[in-house]
Amino acid sequence: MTYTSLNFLFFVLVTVLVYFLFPEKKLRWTVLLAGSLFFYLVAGYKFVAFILFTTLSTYLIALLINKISKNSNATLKSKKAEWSRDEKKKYKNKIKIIKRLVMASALVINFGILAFLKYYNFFSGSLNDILGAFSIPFSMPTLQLFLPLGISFYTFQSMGYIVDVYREKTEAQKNPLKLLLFVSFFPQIVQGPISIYDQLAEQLFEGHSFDFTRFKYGCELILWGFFKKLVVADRAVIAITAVTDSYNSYNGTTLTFTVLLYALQLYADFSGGIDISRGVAQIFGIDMIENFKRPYFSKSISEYWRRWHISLGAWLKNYLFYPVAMSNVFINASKKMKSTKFGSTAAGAHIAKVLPTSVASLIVFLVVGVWHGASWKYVAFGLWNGLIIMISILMQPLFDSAVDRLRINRSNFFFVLFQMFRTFLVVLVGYVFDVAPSFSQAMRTFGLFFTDQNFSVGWSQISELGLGKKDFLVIILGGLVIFIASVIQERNAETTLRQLLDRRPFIVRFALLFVAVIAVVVFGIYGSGYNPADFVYMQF
Amino acid sequence: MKKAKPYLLRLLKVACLLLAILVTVGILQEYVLCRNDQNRIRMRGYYLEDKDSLDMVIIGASDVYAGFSSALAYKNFGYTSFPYATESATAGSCKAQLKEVIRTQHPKLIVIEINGFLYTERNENNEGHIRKFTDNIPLNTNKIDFINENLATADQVEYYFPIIKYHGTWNDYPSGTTGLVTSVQQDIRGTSLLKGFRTVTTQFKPNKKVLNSQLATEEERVDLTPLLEYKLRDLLDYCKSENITNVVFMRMPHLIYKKTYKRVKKANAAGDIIKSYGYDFYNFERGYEEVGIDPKTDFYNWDHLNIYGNEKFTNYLSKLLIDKYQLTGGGLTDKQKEDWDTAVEYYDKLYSFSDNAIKVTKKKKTLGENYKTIKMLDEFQG
Repeated sequence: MTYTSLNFLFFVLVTVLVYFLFPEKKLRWTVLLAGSLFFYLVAGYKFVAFILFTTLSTYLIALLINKISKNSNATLKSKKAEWSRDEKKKYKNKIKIIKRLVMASALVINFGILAFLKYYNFFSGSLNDILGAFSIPFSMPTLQLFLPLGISFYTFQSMGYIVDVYREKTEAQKNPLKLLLFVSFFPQIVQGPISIYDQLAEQLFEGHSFDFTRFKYGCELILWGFFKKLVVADRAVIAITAVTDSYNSYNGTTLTFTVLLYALQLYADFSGGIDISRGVAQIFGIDMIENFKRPYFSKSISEYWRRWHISLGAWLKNYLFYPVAMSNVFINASKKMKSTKFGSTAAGAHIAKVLPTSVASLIVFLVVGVWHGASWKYVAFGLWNGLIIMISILMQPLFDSAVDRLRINRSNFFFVLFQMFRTFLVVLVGYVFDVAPSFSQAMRTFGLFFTDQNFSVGWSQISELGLGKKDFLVIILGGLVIFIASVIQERNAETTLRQLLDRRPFIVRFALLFVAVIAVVVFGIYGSGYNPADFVYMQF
Repeated sequence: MKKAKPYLLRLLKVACLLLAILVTVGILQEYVLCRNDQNRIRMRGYYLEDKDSLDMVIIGASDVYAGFSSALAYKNFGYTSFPYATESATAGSCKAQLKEVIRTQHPKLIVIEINGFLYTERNENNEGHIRKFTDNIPLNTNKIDFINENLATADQVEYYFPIIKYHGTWNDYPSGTTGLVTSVQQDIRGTSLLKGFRTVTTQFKPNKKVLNSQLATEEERVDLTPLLEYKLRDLLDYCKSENITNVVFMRMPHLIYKKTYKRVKKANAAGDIIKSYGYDFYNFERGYEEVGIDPKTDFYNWDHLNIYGNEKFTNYLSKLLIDKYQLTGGGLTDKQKEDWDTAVEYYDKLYSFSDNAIKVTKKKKTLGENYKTIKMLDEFQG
């Protein structure tokens, strides 16, 4: 039951009706839970065991951590007068180690399942290649593994919750069914956003009353998501798939075009899917976090990652970047560097200062790369982004001084445009790893960009990618609509497009909504005449 | 009341938007985003006929609307008729077609051509063939029954709402404009000008040995496939159970060669089944000489009579039906008479055009109800 199917819309309609007609307001969350479980069962009954196991292990371990925290706090309180400072410190350290071990057990078990299902064949294949190269007669078997729907998303979300309980930022949930709802909430299970417990849980459990404005905004967001996904992304993916299916047959011009098209397709697909998710949640009165903020308007690659897949970035920042950057190893390394002769120079002091941040960034982006897929090309994707960010942080003073010396006004429109263009190019380089079937093919593609540009050959190849001229026109116009909406949104960051639309006269709103629905009905890619494309981020 | 006003206003606005969307989607589905092909134009033409204004309806496939002309029958014999037929019509749709004819017209006589029963089951499951019928009839219980009985549940929604299937046809424009204009013009006019007739202006020259001379004495039988025999018996059982007595079955004349000879034997077997239920069956394939059809001059391809064959067959069948079943015309209003006279006028023009194209200009052209053909006929100076 994909988010863009009629079945899904019908399912949402029924769930919304049951939710708001459910007499006991306090228990309305059970409707969401039943709906989420039904959705998950329809997706595949064999997946259910995995999500139930993650929920149960998360539930029990969170309770245990909570109990340890409470008991230790009570002990510390009761022994406040008795114990010396050293004794308290010793006890705290002991408790910290116990809590860490308990938390680690949850992380190891659940990330272990994810890693095994997602990466086992990649690692066994790579290991076999290495052993084969040294003629070592050993090979690990290849397994027929399947990925349960949304496993990355619900694993990250539930492990974030465990860490929050460990950090005593949140209380452990005592009701396992409520935790199950937090883990399996159907609008977010397919491709996120990855929510933080404190931000989402209470909204889920609160019994919301029907609010017409929320309902209207939710429907409008769903419609916008449908437009992006069905009209633009699923049309563009036809050409992209044609290229990736026989990658070697295309010249540099066609591949350049494909990477550009992919940038539009990926954004329309992922952000469209998230819009549908957030729109559905909004109808129920639940605000899920925004996952995109016009990422292609970013002026630097760090900014891009703060605007793209925001929930994953926030998760990695909270639960990976800070622990790594603030770890004793990095802090000590930074201090050590500062105390050297090199550290006493201006450049050395800067490098020593930003070293933990830059190395932590590199590690985070390696994880981002691996999270995207079990392949060397994704490792390269992560490394590319991580290295660019690392270099940017390290070279920042140089860049700043160059800008100052050239007397460039940083808010100058053309300079901002240049920064956006530069960032977009860096992003496109990363996308080459995504589009190419393998790392070596990605490398070959970079070569073709410079050595095999032939517009007439490219044009004839592009015209045979399964899309007609009219389809390309629809993609261009659809992309233009998204661009205009993004510009308006960028200029009015505090309000949503829907709020802006609400300020317009009825006839304008009526016309816009009418045109949008008809555009989706007429130009959308759906029905048996077309092969429906899965959401790109479903696979992650 | 004051308190309720904003809510009512909001409800009204939402209702207006939904209504506008529904009406627009409905119009798009009906005229723009659909296959406005000859099947659709013919079927829509049938449904434009006034209720109970047809004396006879022929159910069948393409051989019916090429081989029988309603306008010619009206001109020569005074009775009204219509071919309720689509290209490669399936056997499974025959019962639903019969129900539709009874629901809409109550004709004095219904003739069923058995073409669909003589093919393979692959034809039966062909989505395109099924859709030529289902996409072109209005939503009613017969359509719902047919979809429920014959199509997988997962596919059904696309048959109820064909726009899901055909919304991508915006890509066919401007070439799709001919069908759209024809469809709209026909609806505005309120009547079909050619009464479903379609022909190709040529005389077929077979490149294989024609076996029609052997047909008259062929007594051998080949069983219908189990599914198609079941469908035939189901149709006959339905006729019996509903006490439908004004039904006649027939097999149109075709050019037969080695590959299609098996169909002759199947038609013999089908005839036996039909007769065992007490219904009349006329096999004009075997009796083509009696009709006066000449295999050398009267076909435009293996399976379809041309304008000359059509003239001979329409006259022969009409005489037979009038003699045997006392088929009569009459009872038309002035407006209906006017419409049928117009149809005769266009049939005559079409005949002259075809005759000229076959004998003089030697131009092979497909002529059916579309505005380009009509315009061409209007301008034709025979």
